[in-house]
Amino acid sequence: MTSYLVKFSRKRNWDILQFDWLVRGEVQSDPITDLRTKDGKLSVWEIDEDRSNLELVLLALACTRWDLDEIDFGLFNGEVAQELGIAIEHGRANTPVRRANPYHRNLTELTVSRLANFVYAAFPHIEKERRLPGEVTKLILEAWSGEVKQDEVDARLREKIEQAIGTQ
Amino acid sequence: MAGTLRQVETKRVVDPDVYSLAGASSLGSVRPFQTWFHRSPPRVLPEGSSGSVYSLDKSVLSEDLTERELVLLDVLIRNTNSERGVTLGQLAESLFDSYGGIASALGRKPMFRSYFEASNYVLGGVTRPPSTRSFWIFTWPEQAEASTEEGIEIQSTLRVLADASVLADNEALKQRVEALLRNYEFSSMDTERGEFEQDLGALVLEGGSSVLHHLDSAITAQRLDPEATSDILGALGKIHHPETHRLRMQLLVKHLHHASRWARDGAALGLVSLGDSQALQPLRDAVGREQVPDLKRDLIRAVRYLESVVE
Repeated sequence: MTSYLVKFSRKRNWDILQFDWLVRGEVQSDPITDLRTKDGKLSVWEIDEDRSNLELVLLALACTRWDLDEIDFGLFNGEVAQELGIAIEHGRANTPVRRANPYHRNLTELTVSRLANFVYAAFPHIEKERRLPGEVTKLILEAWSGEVKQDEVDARLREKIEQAIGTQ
Repeated sequence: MAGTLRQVETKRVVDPDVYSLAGASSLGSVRPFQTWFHRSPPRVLPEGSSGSVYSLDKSVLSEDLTERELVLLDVLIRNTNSERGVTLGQLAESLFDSYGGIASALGRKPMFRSYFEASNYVLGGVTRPPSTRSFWIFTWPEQAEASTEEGIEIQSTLRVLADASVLADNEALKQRVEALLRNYEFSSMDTERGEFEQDLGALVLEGGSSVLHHLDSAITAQRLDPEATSDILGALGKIHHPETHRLRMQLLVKHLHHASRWARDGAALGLVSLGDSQALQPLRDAVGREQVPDLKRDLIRAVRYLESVVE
């Protein structure tokens, strides 16, 4: 089954925690605050079963920022959305990494309850991952002269990359 | 409390822009100028820069300073008005405009010497500078600096000023740290994180250990939002400032013990960015202590990554 990548704003919002007030099987509300929806849509990326496009998608995400911070993300099974009746549509993406753009998707027609149900269903199984700043830098550097449309990268990030190239 | 003039950075400087400005100066006899004055703290020092950066803040206790030192201070304050800064050559030209007649009467001695003599002669007793402002002074490599009389004059006076504690106002610095934290805490979005990190970096460059002390106090007292705390600690590892490297590492290691998992995560990220092999053992210890499984996994990842880059 296809999995999807969702970018976390703050990975710690997805920690599995024990609180006295938290009934067993319940999920604290923090993950909901981490998912930024727009017009009832949540941006995700389709990841091949063998994950062969994972680094490409991460590269695209890294190149749409202006700093070399860590990237935190989660991978969830597409069945989660399917079972909740959440439609997944092709979403337009315009990152400086052209080959990654076709993998962009949106979870659509999200309501408060659907989003809550999605978090509730996805939370126990979502694979939480992190790429450290040094790994993000390496990822970009390796693709800088190839996959990345450099002129479409934010000037501040471009400057940092050029600095990193200079210190190599 | 008065301010301090202190050396806060030493790096190798090769800034063609400065040299071209120096070349444009009419003071042909002066060698490439070794000093560069900034009205605002430079966020990033020119790559490969060398020499010293001083910050001067707040008022000066005139009784601590000699007449000559006050004059130099006065000169610096009166002449560092531009956003971009002013070279020693431009400063000297400006002095010549103001005091040229007197300098002529005393003979064409090196500009600063003439100025000091002239000002001592005219002013008799020098008054306290009208107001003091923060500014930054790059000085070029000591050897070059000492190759001109002006350089010797400036350098020795700066040294005396530093020794005499012309003094950064610690309280003012603290207020600036607090303001930065407060503003970020209530507006911390991804897009602002980079900007915050730049501002924090500039403050650490300017205030060094004092700034770190204020940050540490705020974090230890848990006065900040957990996310902001995490970002601050993470950012401390990214600052390139060898003088505070050790102190920042100590601070980050300390907060691996913080009660908040957000802070522990930020401290680990900061240590990874710092890239110091001495952080490895504290990080391994943190893995052993960690009770939150998800964070424990991130700490393990941090240890593995650091091992891969430093070992």
